[in-house]
Amino acid sequence: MAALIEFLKKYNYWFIFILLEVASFVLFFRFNSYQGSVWFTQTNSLAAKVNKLYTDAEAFIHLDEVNSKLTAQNTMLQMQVSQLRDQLKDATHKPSINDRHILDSLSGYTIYSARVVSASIVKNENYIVIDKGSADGIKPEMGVVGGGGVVGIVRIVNSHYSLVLPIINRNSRISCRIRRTGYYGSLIWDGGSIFYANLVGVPQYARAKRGDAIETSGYSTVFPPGLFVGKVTDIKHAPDGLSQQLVVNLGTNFGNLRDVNVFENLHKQEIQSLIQINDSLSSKQ
Amino acid sequence: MIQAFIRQTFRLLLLLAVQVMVLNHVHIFGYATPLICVYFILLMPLGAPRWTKLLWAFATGVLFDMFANTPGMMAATLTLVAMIQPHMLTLIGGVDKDDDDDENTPPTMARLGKFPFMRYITVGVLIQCIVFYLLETFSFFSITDTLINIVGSTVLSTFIIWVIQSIREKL
Repeated sequence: MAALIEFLKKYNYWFIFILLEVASFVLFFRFNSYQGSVWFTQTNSLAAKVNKLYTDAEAFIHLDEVNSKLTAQNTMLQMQVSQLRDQLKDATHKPSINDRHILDSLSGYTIYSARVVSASIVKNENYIVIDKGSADGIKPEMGVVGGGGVVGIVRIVNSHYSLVLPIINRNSRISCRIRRTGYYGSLIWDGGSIFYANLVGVPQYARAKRGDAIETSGYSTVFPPGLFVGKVTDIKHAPDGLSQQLVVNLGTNFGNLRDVNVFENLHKQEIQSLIQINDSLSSKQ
Repeated sequence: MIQAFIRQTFRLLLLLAVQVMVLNHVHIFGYATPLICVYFILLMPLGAPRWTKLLWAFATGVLFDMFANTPGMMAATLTLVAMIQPHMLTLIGGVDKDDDDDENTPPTMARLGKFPFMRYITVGVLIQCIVFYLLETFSFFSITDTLINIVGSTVLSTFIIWVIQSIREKL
C-alpha cells in the first residue's frame, strides 16, 4: 500500500497529463464540426466492427446452450405430436359395438392409457412391458385391456414401467363367462397358438355354442364385468367328463399390440375387505 | 510563491495578448502563422514540479483556443509539449540535472549557450507546430500544404522567439 502511494506520488504528473489530454480531446471533438464528424464516423464504424466481433464470439460460446435448448424443444414437440396423433386417431376412430359395450361397462374404474414397449409372444411364459409404472398410478393386479379385448393383468411394477402377465402365459388365469348364458369358467392358455386360449370349468349344461362371445365375469376385482375376450370356435369335453372346455379365439392380437388401457377398480379395497371379513369369520368357526 | 505565480500569470497574459492580437492575423504567403505560445512552456525551469507545468500548459492552450476558435487543439498540443519539456531540456538543451542552478532557474541563452538554446527552442516549436497542424487538418489529404504550414510556422515562430529572448536578455 505504501509502495502504491509512493508510486502515485512519484508519477502523479502522468495522471494529470492523461486527464488534461483527454479534456483537450473532448473539447477538440466536441466543438470542431469537421474533426467531430470524422471522429464520429470513424469510431462508429470501429465500434460496429468490435461489436460484431463480440456478438459473433458470444454466439459461438452460447452454441452449446442453444443446442441443448433446441434438443429439449424438439423432444417436447415430438411428444406433443405423438399426443396429438393419438388424439386424432381417437377422434377419427369409429367405435364398434364391441368398443361401445366396453366403454359402457367402465363406470367405477379409473383408466390409464399406456403403450406396449416390449413383448414376447413365442414362448410359453410370455410377457408384455408397458410404459407406465407406479409413478403414473399403476399397481399390481390391475387389468390391462387392448383395443380388441382383454390383454392380461399387471404383475410387477417399477417406477416407470410395468410387467404385464398376458392371457398367453401359462400362469395366467382369468375368470370369464359366456355372454349369452352367463355360465363362467377360467380362461387359461397352454402354449401353442397365440390366437387361441381355453375356457375350462364350464358346466356341461351351459349350452355353449360356436360363435358365443366370451367376456370377463367381473367376479375377480381385476376386470370390470363384460369386457370382450374372444369368441368360441370349438367345444370339447374335459377329461373329467363333468365340464366342457371351450376353445376361444382371442379378440386381442398379441402380434401387433401397441396401445393398451390399464383398469383400476375403485371399489377394490371394499371388496377385498369384505372377503377378508368373511375369511376371518369362517376361520373362527 | 504567490509573487512568482502572479508574475507567471502576467507573463502568460502578455504573451497571449501578443499572440492573439497580432500574430494570429499574420499569414505570410497564406501559410506561415507564428505560434509562440510554446515559448511560455519552454522557459519553465527544469526543477519546477511537472504537474504545475502541465496545468500551466493546459491553461495557456485553452486560452489560446478560446481566441483562435480552435477548441482543444492548442490545449492538447501544449500539454504534450509540457510533458516532454524536461526531457528536451536535458537531451537537447544540455541542462545538467545535478546542477542546482540549472534546475531552478529558467533556461536562457546566456546559461545554455546560444546554439543549444536555439536548438532546444526550435525542436519545441517544431513539435508544437507538427501536433497543432496535424490536429487542425486532421487528415493526410493535403499533406503538402500541411508540411508547408508546419515548416513555415516553425521558422517564423523560432525567429520571433529568438528576437524576444535576445531583447529580454539585453535589457
